[in-house]
Amino acid sequence: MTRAGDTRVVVAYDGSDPAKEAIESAGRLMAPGTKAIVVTVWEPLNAIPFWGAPLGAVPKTVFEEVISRAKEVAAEGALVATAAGFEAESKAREGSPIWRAITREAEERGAELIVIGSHGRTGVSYVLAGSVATAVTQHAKCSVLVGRAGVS
Amino acid sequence: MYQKILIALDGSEGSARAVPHAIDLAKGNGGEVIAVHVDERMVAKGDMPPVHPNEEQILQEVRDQVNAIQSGGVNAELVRTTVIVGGPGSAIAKVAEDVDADLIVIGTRGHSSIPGLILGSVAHRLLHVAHRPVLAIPPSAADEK
Repeated sequence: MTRAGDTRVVVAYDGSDPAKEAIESAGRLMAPGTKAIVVTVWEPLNAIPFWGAPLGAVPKTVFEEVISRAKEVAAEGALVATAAGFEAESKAREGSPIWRAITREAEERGAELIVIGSHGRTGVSYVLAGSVATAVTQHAKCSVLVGRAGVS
Repeated sequence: MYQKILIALDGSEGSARAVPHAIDLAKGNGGEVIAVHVDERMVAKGDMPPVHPNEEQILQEVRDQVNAIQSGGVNAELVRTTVIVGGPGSAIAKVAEDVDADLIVIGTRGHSSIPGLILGSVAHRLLHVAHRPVLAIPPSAADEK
């Protein structure tokens, strides 16, 4: 099961508290020094169903800002993961739907575990276990650790 | 570290796939496994008693799974609980609270789901109600190991 040099864990990170908790839970699950990639996924603007304006009308700086922010969030997640005992790298990735970008990342790397917060920053689904976490659990080919799932 | 691993067992192949994970985790941390089995009864109307299809057979399979965990060299005990309303997901979450489990391990396909189409309804519910980390094991994980 252990292959030196391989990334065994994909962490889906959006900067939310449940995502942080999930990383901490995963750190207790995996041996210290396990390689992990922390991925922050953003959806392209044209994935928003009611987006009507042509993308050309959006100032380029908006895209640059989104990418730069995603990279920052991912880097912050890598720090959390490092503190939890992982050997962590970070990555920002565009994808839609978000769950598919996460499961693809895991498949591409042959990861054995996806780590995700129970509910994140996706608007309405804040209320219940996130639709992203649920969809990732549903579609992943590997195990999924959902950090403290319930909303009290 | 995870000392107390709760595993949800229903005798199905889906839940069997979670067993090696629970054994590994408990072994790695010198922990123990609490197996929870929910006897899900469906309420009948009128004079009919509540039904629980195949419960005897399912329970035997669950006992076999618990024995397999013990054979793996890990302390395991079986907690049985009955649910009439609320579904097994909520019942599992409640046992996790009662025994103060550190982690819940569950196969994402049990007896009651359509393979390949939906996340097992029990696992799905559990994700909504559990106050503990949940390790969800897909149908094929054990094969790919």
